Amino acid sequence: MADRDEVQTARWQAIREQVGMHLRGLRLQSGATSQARLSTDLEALGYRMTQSMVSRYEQGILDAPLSLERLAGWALCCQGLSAPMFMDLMSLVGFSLPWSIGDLQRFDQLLVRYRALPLPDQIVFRRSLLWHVLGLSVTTKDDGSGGEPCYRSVNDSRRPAGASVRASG
Amino acid sequence: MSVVMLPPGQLARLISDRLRHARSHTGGRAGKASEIAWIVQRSLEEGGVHCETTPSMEDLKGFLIASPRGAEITVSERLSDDERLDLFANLLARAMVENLDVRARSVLKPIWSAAFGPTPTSAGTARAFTSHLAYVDGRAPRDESRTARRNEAVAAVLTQAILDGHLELAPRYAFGLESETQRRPGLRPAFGRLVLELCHRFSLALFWRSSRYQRLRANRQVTEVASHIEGMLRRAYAV
Repeated sequence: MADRDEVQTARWQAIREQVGMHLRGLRLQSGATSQARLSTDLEALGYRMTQSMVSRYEQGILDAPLSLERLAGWALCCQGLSAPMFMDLMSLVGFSLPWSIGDLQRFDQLLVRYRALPLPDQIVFRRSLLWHVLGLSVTTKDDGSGGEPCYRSVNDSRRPAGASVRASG
Repeated sequence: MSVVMLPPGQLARLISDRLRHARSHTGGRAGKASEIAWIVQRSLEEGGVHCETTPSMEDLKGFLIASPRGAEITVSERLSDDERLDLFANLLARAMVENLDVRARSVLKPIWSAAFGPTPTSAGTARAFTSHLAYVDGRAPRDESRTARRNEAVAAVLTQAILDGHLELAPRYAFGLESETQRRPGLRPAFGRLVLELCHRFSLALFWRSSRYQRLRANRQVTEVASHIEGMLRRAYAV
């Protein structure tokens, strides 16, 4: 808490219960994904989110504010990117994703379809999809070696690759 | 360095040219599959498609995700060079097919455009986000729609044309070769362009709908006849 502004902390405390209600609604609307399943899916995507944290976020009792990346990951795992509840949630916390509602619906249809795939395939696919949802472009190293991909905000090429960025509207 | 994907048709032309060139250096023989796959992968990377392999997939051979944020192809590490080559070409062909439906329906667009000017939707038909999955044989879902099956059939023909290095075995509009590079002024060339455009659009529409026409169009003799007719029209109308 020491490195967080007092204003930021106060704002999060004011909205965290509403955020929690939205998160819970998002999880339950997608065929009632369990907290354990959601936590497993999020961890497979690279988030550090235990089942207990999922529960505490939903109850609105966690002190750490939710980042855009976590919100997008949560909605992705619940196939709720185009859900009105997710839109409300994004406006509540002041984030936006660089996609039209039609694109977000297409993401969700895709995710519903690919629930039928084995888990390892789903994880590989969702990991790739997440970066597109967040609005980061795939870039390769300048030597053209085609090595490790890195992701960069399309709006700011000076930003270091891999840094978390806020997507523009 | 931010990477923007070339239009799929343009990328297909680039890969096809390179494959033809590579074969001409080996006396028409197909080179080693690993070399050919390398050429295709390099061309895709140059065209803005990031390619990577993963050992983790079970039912999928690979997938393509393309959006304004970039394009990427992920393939399973278990594939042989031949399978990888086929998959690269097939995913590219599927990306081309994505917007072919809209273009194949618009046979009368040139007349409409000539009479009333370009339509607002004509430039904006490309989708913001596309993805295609390629399944391991026997693992694909059985409930695929008729449209999905048709897309697959058209993509298979385009894939073969890319791999053969002979794009002329499919309608040129399927590869996005729609605009004349040099437009001669005058009524006669303009009329000639209109006739040619209608012929190409009709060919694309038939190609889209009929598997018989797809086979016919892939015949080299038919392709030669079509090419002769186009040449005659171009000369006759001074296009």
